[in-house]
Amino acid sequence: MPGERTARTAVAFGISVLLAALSAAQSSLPSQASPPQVGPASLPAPSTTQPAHTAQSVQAPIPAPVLVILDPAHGGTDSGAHGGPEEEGAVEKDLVLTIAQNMRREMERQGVRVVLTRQGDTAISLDDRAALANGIGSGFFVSLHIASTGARNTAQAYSFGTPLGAAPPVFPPRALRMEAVPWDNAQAGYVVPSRRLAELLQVELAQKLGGSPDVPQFAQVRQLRIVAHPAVAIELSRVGEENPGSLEKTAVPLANALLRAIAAYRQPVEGRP
Amino acid sequence: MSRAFRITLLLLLLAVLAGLYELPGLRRQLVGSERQEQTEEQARREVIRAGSEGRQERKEMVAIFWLSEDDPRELAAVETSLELGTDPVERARVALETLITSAPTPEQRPLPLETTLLALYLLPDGTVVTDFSDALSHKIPSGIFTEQLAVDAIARTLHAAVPQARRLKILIAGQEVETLAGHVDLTGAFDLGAMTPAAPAAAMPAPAAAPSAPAQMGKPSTPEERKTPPTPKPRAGVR
Repeated sequence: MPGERTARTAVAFGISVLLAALSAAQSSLPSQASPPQVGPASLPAPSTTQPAHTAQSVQAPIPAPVLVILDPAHGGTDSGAHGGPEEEGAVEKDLVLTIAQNMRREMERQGVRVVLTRQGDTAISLDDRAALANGIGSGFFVSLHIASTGARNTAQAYSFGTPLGAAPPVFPPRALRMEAVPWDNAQAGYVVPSRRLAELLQVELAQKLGGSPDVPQFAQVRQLRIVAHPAVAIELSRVGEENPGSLEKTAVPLANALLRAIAAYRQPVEGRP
Repeated sequence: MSRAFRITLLLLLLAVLAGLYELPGLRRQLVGSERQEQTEEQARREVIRAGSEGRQERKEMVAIFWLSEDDPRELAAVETSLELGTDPVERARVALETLITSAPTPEQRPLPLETTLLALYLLPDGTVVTDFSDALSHKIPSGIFTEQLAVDAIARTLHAAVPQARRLKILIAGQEVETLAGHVDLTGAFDLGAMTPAAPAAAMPAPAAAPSAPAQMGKPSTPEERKTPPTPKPRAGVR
């Protein structure tokens, strides 16, 4: 029947149009919306060339593949700290992105896989950043900030916890089996590992960026609270720097400090399995 | 005169006599009631007067946590003479407004001077709900450290001034916000019971320059009030 054939053709055409529209919609989604590809094939191959910064390169061997999730804070309409009045001068969101990209380059050169929570000047919510990180099996989360105060070219590491004088709550480590973890308590199972990472990192920061404190701080940072990894925040000082380039130069020392801290973190500790 | 008319007249006469009999009693009740109202009003006035007189005499030393003069990366308890009264909400309000407006020097302010305490509530479970103007978010120097210091200063000052306070909830302009200014988490409440108790303060004589009339809640202090800090005495840093 000609009428029936026409109807079938119309239905087939409709389905094909629908499929094409779905395909187009999927391809237009931002890359952050889907879990990142962290397999070796999706990451740039580690460089085999000799390191340009021999004096600063990490000597400590890293026993197994390491994944670092670097979180350049702020972005989009949220500029973070300003180097000058209103929109004048350097802004935190741009500086931390540049530093994170340079850190990524340095760490990948040393064979470490790195994922950035934002690639450009885009506004990404704290929850979306955490969702990206929490979708990754195992890694180290590092949130990068620059304060508007503090001694120049110094860095302070933070882990999540109360600074009000009490030790942070200790939760049992997350079990390997699948279980529901309340979003706001995602860090609960990592408070102690995060503290240990922060302590190791701060030692390295004090060596590489003179004038930095010797001990890390606890802070109730929202971004760290909702991340299910060993997680720290690094706050550089300061965005009001007359020469923002000097802050950007901290990227390589920061990357090396972080890798050395991670290497020390992964060393077996006596009495610890 | 008919018999029915006479009976009606008799009943009316009896009703008038009964009314006349009851009138003095009613009058006594009315007079007594007026006297009682006067007595209650007098008693209320006396209680209020006694309360306000007592409050004037009840200046006490309380720790306010400003930035340390020696190290601006630490909070330091400063013993300050304030009229706190006994009402916990009033105590919290006076202590927090002093924290905002009366730092010994501008460099020692952990909260922006433009901040206003819009409202304050004490819940039965000991949670103090503080509602600050959005200047607290917008005017604070950006950074994890500065935000955490601001929250610590509020928490420690409340803990010192209000024994009933167990937890602190911070609202900005009447709303629950995710972070103070992009970093410190304000979605939950801060546990004041987790704090290390401050060291006991040394006894200090009440300074004469203590503010006698702190700014009203919801109204920013006048510049004159802000220029007149109490005469505080520093105590050990606590951070």
